[in-house]
Amino acid sequence: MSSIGDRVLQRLEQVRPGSRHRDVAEQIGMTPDAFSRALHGKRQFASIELARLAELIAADLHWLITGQPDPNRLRVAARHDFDHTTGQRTVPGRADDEQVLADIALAYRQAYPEPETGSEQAIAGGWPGSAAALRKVLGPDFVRKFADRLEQHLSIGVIRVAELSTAYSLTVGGRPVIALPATASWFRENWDLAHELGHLVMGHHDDGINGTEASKHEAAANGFAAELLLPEETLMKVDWGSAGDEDLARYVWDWGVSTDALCRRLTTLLGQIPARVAHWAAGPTQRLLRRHLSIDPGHDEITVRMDEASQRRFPLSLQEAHLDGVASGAIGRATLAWMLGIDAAALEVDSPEIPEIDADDLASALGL
Amino acid sequence: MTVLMFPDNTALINFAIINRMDLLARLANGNGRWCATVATECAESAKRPELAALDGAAEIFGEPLFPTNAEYQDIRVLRDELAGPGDQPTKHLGEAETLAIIVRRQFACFFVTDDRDATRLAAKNRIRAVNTWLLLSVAYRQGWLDADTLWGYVQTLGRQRRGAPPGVRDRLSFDKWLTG
Repeated sequence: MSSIGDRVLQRLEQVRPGSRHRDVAEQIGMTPDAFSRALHGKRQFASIELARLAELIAADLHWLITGQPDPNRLRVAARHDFDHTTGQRTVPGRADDEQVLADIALAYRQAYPEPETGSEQAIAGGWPGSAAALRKVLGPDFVRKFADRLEQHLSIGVIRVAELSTAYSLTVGGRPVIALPATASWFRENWDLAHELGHLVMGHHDDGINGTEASKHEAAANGFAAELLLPEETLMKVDWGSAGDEDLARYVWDWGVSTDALCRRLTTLLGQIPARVAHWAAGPTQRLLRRHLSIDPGHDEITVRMDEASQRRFPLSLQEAHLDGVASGAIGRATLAWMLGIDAAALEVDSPEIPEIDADDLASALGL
Repeated sequence: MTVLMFPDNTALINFAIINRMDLLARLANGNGRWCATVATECAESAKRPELAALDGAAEIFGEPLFPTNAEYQDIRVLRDELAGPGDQPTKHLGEAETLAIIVRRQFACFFVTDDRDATRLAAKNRIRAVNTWLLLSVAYRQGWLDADTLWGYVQTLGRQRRGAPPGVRDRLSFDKWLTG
């Protein structure tokens, strides 16, 4: 059986071949002698040394310790921004998003310390694979309460925070999560949700995949999103030549998509763009809705929907698990406060009393 | 004899700031212990001129305790129970390592920290936690400090945002705390 030292050496050889152990030791705050003895099992690593080493050689800490993949690991399927003009896919904010994703993973590990054994496989095997079947599972008019339906019917946690630059689907300890940037753009959010659901359904993740595979994943997820939100069968029933501005506004509103998304979908399905759709797709979706959507003047549903898509959101079940953890003393209140977007000091929740120790008892116990 | 375990730098730095590592040594009475991560962090903090007194900590606590392979896994779980959003991966490892060692090896000890979350987790694991102020009040009761000197320390630490004894806002409340 290999030791921690063996695995460190193995990883060093992979990522820093030829590097001098003396230099590695220095970078993690160890003396060369201590590092050498730790590598050869004559001294244990301090946990801070091991954590620094894992970061330096980009190794999973759990694997370094046990030789096994971390069952609680965070697996991300990146949402790549697609530039239709250049055909390039990038995740420009990924570096800044890493900390937010790590914080989301921490929130899940704190709430559910035990990983869901085999649940990633269960996701793949337990969920319907087609967009049509998933629409049925999510229920009628699912798009208006898309995030709630994903949680209720598929147990996918949906998180919305302003700190993210783009959307991600991930699993933490086998639990599926979709994390979204709060943008107030509900049609963009619906597309993100559908796209990321596609990644989860198809079991995508970005562990060590190359650019070609990533592009295939993105195309497949986009295709899934298109069929989920804009089913071919539904769109082909519409007489696009006679659809007026009010009809178009109602379709966009009910299907929960942008005019641009509708335009691209129709281009794919019809091979050409209906003139009225092309006209409205050239401007913001809000323009069509503000001018032609029939709504109650006393209740501005467009603004309500925007407001909903801008709100910080974490699954209630996750928040409840944190409340229980704080109440039992198992976890602190910092993560719950972060989820709620408030200062931890302002969070009033029940937590156990800490027993006080008498100074004389302490002196006596210390033999003073 | 009950051991004094120092799971982080919070109390150590306070004794270094008031330059009374000698007092800490008397309180530990030969029973002070620390783990390898805290020893590492302490050695790094001692490089700051204002905390040079921390150099004396090694004499008080002796050879650090290193975690075993089984304890490494406990440390990861305990560290998660202490962490908050934005924390770097190395934060809270001293507290987690100390707790893992205490629990696995069933040490009879006091856990010395001023950190609220570390205190919470110690209590959850049925470990008694004490802080800087309790140690200083013991030193006062032993006659190793007079009240005026201790009040000076409270003011010094307060100026450096190191907290204050519970309920202490001025000399009157300080005297009440000391005799309470």
